[in-house]
Amino acid sequence: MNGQELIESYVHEVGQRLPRKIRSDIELELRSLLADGLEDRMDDETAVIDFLKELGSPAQFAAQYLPHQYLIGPNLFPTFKLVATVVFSVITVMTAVTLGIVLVTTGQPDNIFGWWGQEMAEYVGSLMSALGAVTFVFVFLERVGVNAPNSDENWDPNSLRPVEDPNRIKRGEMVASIVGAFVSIWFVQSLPNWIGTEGGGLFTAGYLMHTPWLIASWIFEIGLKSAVVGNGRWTRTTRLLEIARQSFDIYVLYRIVTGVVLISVPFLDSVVKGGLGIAMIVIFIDTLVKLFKFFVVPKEHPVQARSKVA
Amino acid sequence: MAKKSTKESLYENFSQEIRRGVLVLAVLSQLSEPQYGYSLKQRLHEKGLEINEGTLYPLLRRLESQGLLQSSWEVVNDTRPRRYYQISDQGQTIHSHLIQDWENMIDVMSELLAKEPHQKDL
Repeated sequence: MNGQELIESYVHEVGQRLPRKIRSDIELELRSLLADGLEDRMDDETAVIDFLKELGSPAQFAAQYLPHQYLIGPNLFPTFKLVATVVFSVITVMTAVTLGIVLVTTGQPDNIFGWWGQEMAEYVGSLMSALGAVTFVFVFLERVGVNAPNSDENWDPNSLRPVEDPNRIKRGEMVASIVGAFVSIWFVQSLPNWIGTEGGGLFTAGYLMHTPWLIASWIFEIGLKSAVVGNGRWTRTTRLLEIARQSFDIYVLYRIVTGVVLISVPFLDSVVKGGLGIAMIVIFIDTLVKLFKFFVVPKEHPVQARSKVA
Repeated sequence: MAKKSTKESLYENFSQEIRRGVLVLAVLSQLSEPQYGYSLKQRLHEKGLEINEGTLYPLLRRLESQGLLQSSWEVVNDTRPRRYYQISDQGQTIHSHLIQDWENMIDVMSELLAKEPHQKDL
C-alpha cells in the first residue's frame, strides 16, 4: 500500500470503531489532520507509517473519542448486584430443597456421582440462563438511560450506611447456639430412655449408631463457639473449623436421611427424616454462604489488625 | 527496544497524569482565535507543550460536545476541508475559573514543595 492508501485504510479502521452518528465527521477531520501532519514530513510510505505509529492503533485512537464503555454502568451496578444475588440465592435454595425432597422420598441413588453430576449441571445451567437474563435486562436499562434511584444527582450522604465488621460476633446469637447444642445433646441422648429402643420401643440400632456422630459435632461446636465468644470475633481459623464442622454435619445427616431406618414405624420415620432433610438443606446453604464469605471477604491488613489490638 | 523498568513506567504514568490534568487549560488558553488541530498542536509545541495527536484531536471534539469550544469547517486551497476550533462563551467562563484554580494550585504546590532545611536534593 502506498502512503495515501495507508491513510485511507487507517481512517476507515478508526471509523469502523466509532458510532455511525459521528463516524463520517470524524473520518473527514482525521483525513484532513493526517494530511496536515504529513505536510512537514517526506511524503513517502515510511513517513506515513511512522506517523501512524505515533497516533497509535486504530482501536486506541478511536477509543479516545468514546466515553468509557461498559455493559452496566456504576449507577445501576449496585442494583444489578443485588438482583443477581437474590436470583442466585432463590435458585440455589430451590435446587437444594428439590434435591432434599428427592433424596428423602427416593433414597440414595444407585449411581451417586452420576446423579450429582447431572443435578449440578442442571443447577449451573439454570443459574447461567437466569443470571444471563438479569444481565440482559440491566444492559437494556443502561442503554435506554435508566438511572438507579441513588444516582449521583440525587445522592444524599445521609443514605450512607456504617461499615460492618464481618468478623465481629453477636454474643446473644452465639450464646443461643451454644445453649442449643447442649439442649440437642441432652434431647438426643434422653429420647431413647423415654421411649425405648429396638425390641422394646420406637428407635432402631441405626439411630443409636448415628447419633454419637452428631453429639460429637455438637460438643465440638460448644468448644469452638465458646472460644469465639471469648475472643469476641471470628478469625480465619475458627471460620474454617466451623465450615468443617458443618460439612461433617451435612455428611452425617445425608447418611441418615438416605440410608438409615431411625424409627420402626415407617410413617414416623419418614416425618423425622423429612425434618432432618430440611435441617441438612439449611446447613448446606449456610455452609455455602460461609464458604463464599470465607473466600470473598478480604483478609484483614496486618496493620489494621494491630491497631484493633492496640 | 529495551523494556522499561517498573520504576520508569511508574514515573511515566505519574508524569502523564500531571500533564493530562493541565491539557484542557492549555488548549483553552490557545483558542481565543480559531485554530485547526494540527496548527494548535504546532502552537503548543512551540510553547514547550508536547501533545500526542491521538490525545489532542479527540480532546477537541470532547470540549466541543461539552460546549466549551465551537467549530466550523473551512475549505483550504479549494481542496482540503479543515475544522477550525475556537473557545465559546461558556468555554471563556470556565477558562477564567480554571485559571484561578491553577494559580491557587501553584501557590499551594509551591508551599508544599518548598524545601525544608533537612530535605536533601534528589
